[in-house]
Formats: sequence, C-alpha cells, structure tokens
Amino acid sequence: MRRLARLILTLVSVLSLGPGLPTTAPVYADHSSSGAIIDALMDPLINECSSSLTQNELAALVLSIPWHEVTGGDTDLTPSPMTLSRHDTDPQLHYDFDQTGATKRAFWHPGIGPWQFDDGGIGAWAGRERFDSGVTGHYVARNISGRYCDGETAFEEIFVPWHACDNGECEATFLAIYSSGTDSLTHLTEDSQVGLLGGSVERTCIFPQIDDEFTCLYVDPANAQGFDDWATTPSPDASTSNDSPLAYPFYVFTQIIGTDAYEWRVWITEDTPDPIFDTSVAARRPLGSNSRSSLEWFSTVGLCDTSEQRGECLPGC
Amino acid sequence: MGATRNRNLLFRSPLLISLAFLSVLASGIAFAQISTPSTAPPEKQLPLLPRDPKVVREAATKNPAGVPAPNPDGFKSLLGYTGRYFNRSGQSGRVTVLEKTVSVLPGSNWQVVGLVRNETDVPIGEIEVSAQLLNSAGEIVGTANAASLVRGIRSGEPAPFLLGASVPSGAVASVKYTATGKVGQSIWRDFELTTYWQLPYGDRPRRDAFLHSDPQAPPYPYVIAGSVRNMGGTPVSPILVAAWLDPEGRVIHVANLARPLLKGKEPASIRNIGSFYYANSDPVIAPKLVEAEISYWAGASA
Repeated sequence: MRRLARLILTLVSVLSLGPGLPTTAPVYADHSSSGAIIDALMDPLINECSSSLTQNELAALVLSIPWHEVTGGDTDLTPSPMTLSRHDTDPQLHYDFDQTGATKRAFWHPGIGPWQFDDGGIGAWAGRERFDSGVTGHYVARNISGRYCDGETAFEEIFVPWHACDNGECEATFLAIYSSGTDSLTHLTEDSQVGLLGGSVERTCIFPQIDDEFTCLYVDPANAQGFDDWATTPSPDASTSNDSPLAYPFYVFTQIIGTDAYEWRVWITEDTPDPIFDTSVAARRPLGSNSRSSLEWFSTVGLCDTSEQRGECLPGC
Repeated sequence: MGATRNRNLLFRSPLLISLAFLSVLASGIAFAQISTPSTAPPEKQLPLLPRDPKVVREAATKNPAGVPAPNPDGFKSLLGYTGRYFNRSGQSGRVTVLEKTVSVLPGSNWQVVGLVRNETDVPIGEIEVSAQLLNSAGEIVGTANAASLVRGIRSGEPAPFLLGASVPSGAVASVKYTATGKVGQSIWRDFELTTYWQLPYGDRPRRDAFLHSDPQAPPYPYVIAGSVRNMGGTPVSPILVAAWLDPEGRVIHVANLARPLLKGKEPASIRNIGSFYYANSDPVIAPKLVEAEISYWAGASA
C-alpha cells in the first residue's frame, strides 16, 4: 500500500510537471517537503479514521501545515525538522535569566520542528521526540484523523491547533497538494536531503556518575537541513522585545524516573565560546508543563557524549 | 558559574500540618473519616500515560549529582490528570484540604478556591469540603460546604473545590476546613489532555474561527483550547475541568471546559479525540490566567 501510494505520487508529479499537458485546474507552485516525512506519513497505523480519510488525504492535511508554521508560506522551501522558534523573550528561558549578557545563548526554544510542537501547547507531552519529525508527524496525523472521525471535519476544525492556519492558509495548501479525483498527492517535490531529524544526530550519552547509557540527540543549528533561515534571521545574538537569540548547540534527551518525566537540554563547554562556561549548563522541564514557567536550570550537570568523547567524560567512559 | 538555581519547590510543612491537626482536635472537629467500600481494592498502579517504548528504553533513569530528586508534589502528566500535587507518598489515610493551594477570590462576600487530595489508598467517588469561617475573636461567623468539582478521585489525586458564603470577606479572619470522602459510581478516567494554545485577555489580534470568535472590539477575552483523547475506544461524554495556579501553587480560578457543537454530531461524545475550549472576560481574573499554570481533569461515567 505504501509503495502504491508512493508510485501514484511519483506518477502524478511527473504528469503534472510535463510540458504542454492541458490543464483546467489552477496552476500551483511546487511544494517541497522532506521525503522522509512523506514516507513516514504513509504508515496506515497512524490513520484513526481510515473509513473516511484516505492515507494520501490524511498525509496532505498533515503536510499542508508546516509551510505556514515555519517558512512564511513559501511552499518551495522545505520545512526543517530542526526548526527552533525565535519569538520567545521570557527571561526564564535563558540560563541565569541572562537575556543580554555572555550566557544568553544558553536558551531554551519552546517551539520545535515543522509543526512547531510548543511545550506550552501541542508539544507539552514530548521531550526528545519533538525533534523527530517521524514521531511528531505521526502525532499530528493521529490527532487530525481521530478528531475527523469524532466530527471535526471542516477545514477550520481540522487545523484548529495551528494559528498559522487561522485564515485558510492550510486549506489552500491542502487543495493544492491533494487531488481528490485520483486520491493522490500532487505538486509535491520530495526533498531527499532532509531527514526526519533534520540534521540533528543521535548519540549515546551518560551522566559521568551513573553507569546507564541513554540515547541523546545532538542539535547543532549549523547542521540544519531544509529551510534554515531561522538560524540566521534574526542574528544568533539577537535578543530584542520580539526575538530570542539562537541557542548554542545542545544535547536533548528524555528522562523518566518512576512517574516523573523530564525533557533535558544540556550545553557542554566545547560548544560555547571559551570562557563563557567553565562547566556544562543544563535545564529540565517536567513533561506536560510549559517551559516558560517550569524550567529548572543547573550548572552542576555533567554530560558525556560517549559516541564522540565530548563533554565531561571521565577516563574509561 | 553560579550555583544551581531551582524553582522553589512546593512542599508541605510537617510542623504546620501537625499544628493544623492539633487545632482541629482542640476545636472538637475531627478530620472526617471516609466511607470506604469494603470491596474497593487499594490502588497500586499509577495512571500513567502510555509512552512510546522507544522512549522508555532511551530514558536516563537516574539523576546526576547535584540534581534534586523529583518533588513528589511536582508536575505530572497522567491519564485523566495533568498538574501538580498528585502524590502517593506520605499518605495520611484521609482526604485533606491542601490549604497552601487555597486562595480567596475577589469579591465582597467570602469565596475561596483550592484543592483537596485523596490521601487514602482507594478511589473516592467525590469529596465534600466544609469550612467554618471564624472572626478575629475565634467566633463562627458562617459555614460553607460544597462537593469537589471532580468525581472518581484516585489515590493520591487532588481535586478542585469552590466554596462560598454570604459573609463579607473582611469579617473572616481564619477558616477551619474539613473534608469527607463519599462512595460514588465508577468513573472512566483514561483520557489524555493537551493544550493547543491560549490567547491573552485584552488588546490582541482578534480571532474569529472555530472554537472561539472574539467580540468586535477589545478587550478580548482570555481563551484556551485543547484536546482530550479517549483511550478506551468506547464513546463517552467527559466532564473536563481546569484549574489555574499562580507561581506559589495557589489555585486562582477553576472552570468547566466546553466541547464544541459540531454539525450533525452528538457534541459531547468522544470515541477518539475531540477539542475543548474556554473563554473568560472577567477583567479581574482573566488577565492573570495566561501566565498561570494549568491543571486538567477529565472523567466520564463508566
């Protein structure tokens, strides 16, 4: 089924781009999206309303949101799974409440990825998972399809979690990238250069005092795949009434202790200009809570990236 | 760099609890005993949200040095409840008003909002909260009682309450609270609650779309929207309640959340997942809500 859907996508793309083909439909600009995300959305298990929504229809609904969330509506740009929100100015999001000084770029971005999973909203439940567009894409698909079967079928109902869709933008994009006549995705280019992690890299980490290894994710905005203007505009050092600085590269992981779960982000000394930090700094957020009011910051947390021997690695780690 | 900087942790003072207990005994008012059905088994499993197994495998399960253990009263995301004060450690065996969460609401007459917690090891149908209002001479000037706004309260779970009396706020110098648990019908609590967004009260871009349309002119109301997922697969009509807490952990507002009316559909019934919303235009309360921490409860008749 998945291969069939992809074949249809390819054929339709070729046909729609073919020179001289007659068309009575509106001429749409091309739409560029991560091929890995499109692949992930072909999983039939994420469709909770397969009796009413086809897999391609659901995929088109999910895919129509990110351009309006993160590329300013430019559909020929591929939304980056690494996208970090830049419009929060709450002092709590900065280490030591430092909004203007040397440490201001130890900064917690609340909104992550193509669907902007904000921890004050739809991303509150997720930690490291927010940086994986396979996970978040599935979540969006299950949310939309589940609500669809419970009666939220109008476009304004379907797109209600995303403000960027408030004025019909996502509906228009959906109509451009989905052909109901052939139940296929159309006017859609698969960007093979953008993976589900968008340039973030899975590593193995430990706390030096503790033996258990865990998977962490290394997020370096310099390696972002897809549309990455968010990393440079405004400038990484910006700290204004409207814009936040860009975080230095950081490690992110999810920690679960019994019934308590946290999202952690850690900045190690190698990733910050010497001598701003003489030790790692870190922040944690209880999953379910909003980082703007719930962050705890630490300057005592050592983290060792055992994959690359970076951070505070003791001999023998 | 500087020393570890933590958010102020919320904790209960054993001394204050002891004093409160002694004062209640001295006044001849006993903490209420709960009517416990003899067949109710103690609750052992916490109502955890199902998690991606991949995440569990990857989790770091221990804290590094210098990081405090989780606060037992800290924020938790559980089935049917998201917020602070869900705590099964140090249970008293009673239902207890969490007095540090209680705040007096604005208004000429006395009215308070707060949390009461099931500190027994069995679920409770609902909790009756009572208050004796005392003046500065220690004389009773009024009483109030009301049921918790949530039913089917699990072991360790807090529940919001709202109490009011026709007594001027200025006449009340102190309050003695009691709480009584009652057996009730079984309540389905397996819901996952998510916030979509909040809109602040006041002058902001006007919204005119699904779930909420602003009035023509500001001040626009505070609005919150989100979703509730039914984990059971059988259609149910959940009751949704939210409480807003200030930075000190005091409840400043509670409200029932509304489900949208959908064309051709039973509005309240949810098989999979549905949206909710709430708006408030009170110029005293509404400006405070967007900065507050939100707790959610969801439950439906089983």
